[in-house]
Amino acid sequence: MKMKRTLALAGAATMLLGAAACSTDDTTASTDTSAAVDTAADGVTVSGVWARTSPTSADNGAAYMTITATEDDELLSASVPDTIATEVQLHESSMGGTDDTTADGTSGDMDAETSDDSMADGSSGAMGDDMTDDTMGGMGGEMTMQEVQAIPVTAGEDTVLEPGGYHVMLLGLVEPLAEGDTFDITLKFANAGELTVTAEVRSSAP
Amino acid sequence: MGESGDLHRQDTRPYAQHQPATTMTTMRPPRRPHLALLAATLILPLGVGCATDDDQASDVSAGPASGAPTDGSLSGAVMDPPLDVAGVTLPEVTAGVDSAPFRFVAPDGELLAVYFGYLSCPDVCPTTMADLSLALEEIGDDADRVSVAMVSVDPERDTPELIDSYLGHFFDQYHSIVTDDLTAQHAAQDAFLASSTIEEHEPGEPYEVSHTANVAIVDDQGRVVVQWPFGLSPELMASDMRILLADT
Repeated sequence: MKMKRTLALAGAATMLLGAAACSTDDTTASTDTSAAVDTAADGVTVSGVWARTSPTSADNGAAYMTITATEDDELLSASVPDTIATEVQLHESSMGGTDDTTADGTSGDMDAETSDDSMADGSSGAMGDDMTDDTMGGMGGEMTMQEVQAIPVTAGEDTVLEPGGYHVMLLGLVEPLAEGDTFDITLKFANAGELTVTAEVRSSAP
Repeated sequence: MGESGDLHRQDTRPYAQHQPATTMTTMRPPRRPHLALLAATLILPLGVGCATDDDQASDVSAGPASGAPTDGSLSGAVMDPPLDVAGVTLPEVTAGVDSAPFRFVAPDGELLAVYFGYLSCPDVCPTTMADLSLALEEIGDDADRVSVAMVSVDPERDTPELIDSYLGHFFDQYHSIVTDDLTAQHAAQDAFLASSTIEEHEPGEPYEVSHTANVAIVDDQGRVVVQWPFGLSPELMASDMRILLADT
């Protein structure tokens, strides 16, 4: 009985971290039925690792996950077997100019004023400079994607790699990513070192 | 989870030097007044109904409810007055379809979902296409009354065969549209208040593409009746389609 209770607690803890599966006593196993297993090393926990199915005509794909750490860290790089993709980069999708506007903390109303002004005076400022993505909901401005040198991980906070934000970009897919496939991603952290997680290929977010 | 979006954004700042978005988006100044106009018309509806990817995270923690409005209002940005795109044409390259110019008008009693994107896009475009596909599944038989048109903003890489195969991955009823006539392509984007920017590059070198990532819903009169911002959930897309199809 005592053993079972411990397992139940472990299961509850795992679910809190956002993973769905904790089926055996070996919670560190990263294979088997579900890829949504927490993988932890040196204070870093990675959960909900998935990649979207890719059309046959798409050369690139993306993988997503949630990272938590007990100490501040940085995700420096990711790699996958060369049977999956030829190159892996860390990327961020964002609205053009978002960095400038979020610093202002302006309200929706103020943004409306700003946009009126820019229209009236013919300002050449980019759309994204006038609109925060909070008010535009990611609309109107152009979305752009850049490679980033690292993804910061703040201690005690979820760092979420998700559609429309940070993601692991898989360049030069060898084969289309098909529903139910799994593959390993090796993550390299500045402090925690390397950690290999298993991504599950899905048509939508877990 | 709800805090992660803010954290996310703050954390990007040290890497701002990798985001030349401002310079990229100023390359086509004639579009600006249109965009500002769009912005002005959209702020209110978006404030009420849209779920960005950040919002979705908090929806999950709040419970299973999809957040779809119960009062019959649309979740996307209502275009009032609707944009008239009935006069816009581009060549269609869908396999088995005559290469007659495609008009951005839904068949009678139907809707047309229009997206300007590109195939090398690993994140935003497939996310939107997959979400739209899920939304069509959710509305069941009514999905027969909705078709999807994707216009490639990257004709240098997106061949007719590739875009056709791409859309076939997601949809049953689709129109593949790509043209080397950039003037016509940009005119179509203007009509939809869309825009895109191709990074300057040497032939054969990789390049970035930035683009507006909303889905425009066009009715059988060739009017954009609602625009869905990137990140709108499949549930809310489905809710909007049900409402619009009931009126169409």
